Amino acid sequence: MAVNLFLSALYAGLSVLGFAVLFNIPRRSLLWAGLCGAAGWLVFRLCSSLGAELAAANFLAALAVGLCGEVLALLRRQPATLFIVPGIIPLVPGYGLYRSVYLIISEDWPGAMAAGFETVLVALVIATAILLSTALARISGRIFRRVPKPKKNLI
Amino acid sequence: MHDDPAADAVNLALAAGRLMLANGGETYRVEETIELMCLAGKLEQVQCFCIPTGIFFSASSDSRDFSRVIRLRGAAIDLEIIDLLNNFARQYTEGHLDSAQAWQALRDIERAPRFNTPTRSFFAGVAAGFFALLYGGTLPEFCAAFLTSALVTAGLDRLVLFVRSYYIRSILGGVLLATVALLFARLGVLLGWPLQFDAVIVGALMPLVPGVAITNALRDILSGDYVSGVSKLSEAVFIAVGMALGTGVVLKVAWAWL
Repeated sequence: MAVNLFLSALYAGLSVLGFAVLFNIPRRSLLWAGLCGAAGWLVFRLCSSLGAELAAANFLAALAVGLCGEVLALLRRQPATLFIVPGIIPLVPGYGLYRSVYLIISEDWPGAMAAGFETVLVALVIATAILLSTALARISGRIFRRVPKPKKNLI
Repeated sequence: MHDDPAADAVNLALAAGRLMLANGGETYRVEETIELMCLAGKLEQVQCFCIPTGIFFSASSDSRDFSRVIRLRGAAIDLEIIDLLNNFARQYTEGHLDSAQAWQALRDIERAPRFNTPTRSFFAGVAAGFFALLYGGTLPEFCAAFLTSALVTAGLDRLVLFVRSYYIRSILGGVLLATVALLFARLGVLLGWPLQFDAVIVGALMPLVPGVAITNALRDILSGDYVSGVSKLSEAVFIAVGMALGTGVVLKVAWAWL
């Protein structure tokens, strides 16, 4: 069980590494992106095996990726997007979107409906988790580092 | 151009913003970069509105007003350029670069090296192969997904040069993917190595389906960038439609014959 869990996290990490190259991430950040992806998938599998529902497991996993990304961004002084975009790949419902359309053209309406709703739900919770992790990073940055408020000339 | 520092700052900021957008930078990041660079260039009333297909901009200096519209077609994701531009914008706004240095830096960033097609194909194969494993595949599915995805990526990298419509490219990508995957499935049967076809298809599709796009679209909508969110959402949906049509036609014809 535990071996399976870590093996699947390893697969996810290697897959994310492949995606990181497709997104042309700077070479020195490739491994970190892979690690982010592996962490996300580990959380996802762990939550699923503990009985969490699809949305909850995706939310927690994406939150893990987002926080990993923000921490790495702070440590390595690079934008967090660099780690988050490849990191959420194993979670993101690209295949679900494809399958919804595929079921529509197969005229399987109930199946298409189910796949479509699942896609929207998963995309929504992942987006929420990423937004939340960004917000948390901003807040903790304010508290711990006392960064001056960004000035903006609105008038 | 160079005798007016304000105009130069505007041109520089918009060149950086355009480069960022063309390489898959988020619209809020483009807006923020352009605004900060213009404020650093002593411009006032800087307004920037960015959507995935263009930038609208206006600002004023002591002597004149600026208004620009930049139209953009088709963006590729290149996160290294986003990283470099981020650094560049920080250095520029902190005043470490003069105009000539800044233009040179931008030109260097635009020419930043990227991975070539064989490397991209190989790593698309890695991404797809391990994904097939995640979806219950074993070694035969890994190999089939690896080769299918590598071939499709190489094919699409060529196709980008001839076909401008992302929708048509998605359809052709789907056709190519399903055909190659079917061939491997037949080969597997002939060699006595039957494949779990679904795992191969999931793995090979993964580099092409717009998962990140749909998530980013929702993130934009949730943070109040409705126009960019909706336009990215429609792009994601129609990429999926194209892929489903492409693979669907091939698979249905194949199932009917075999």
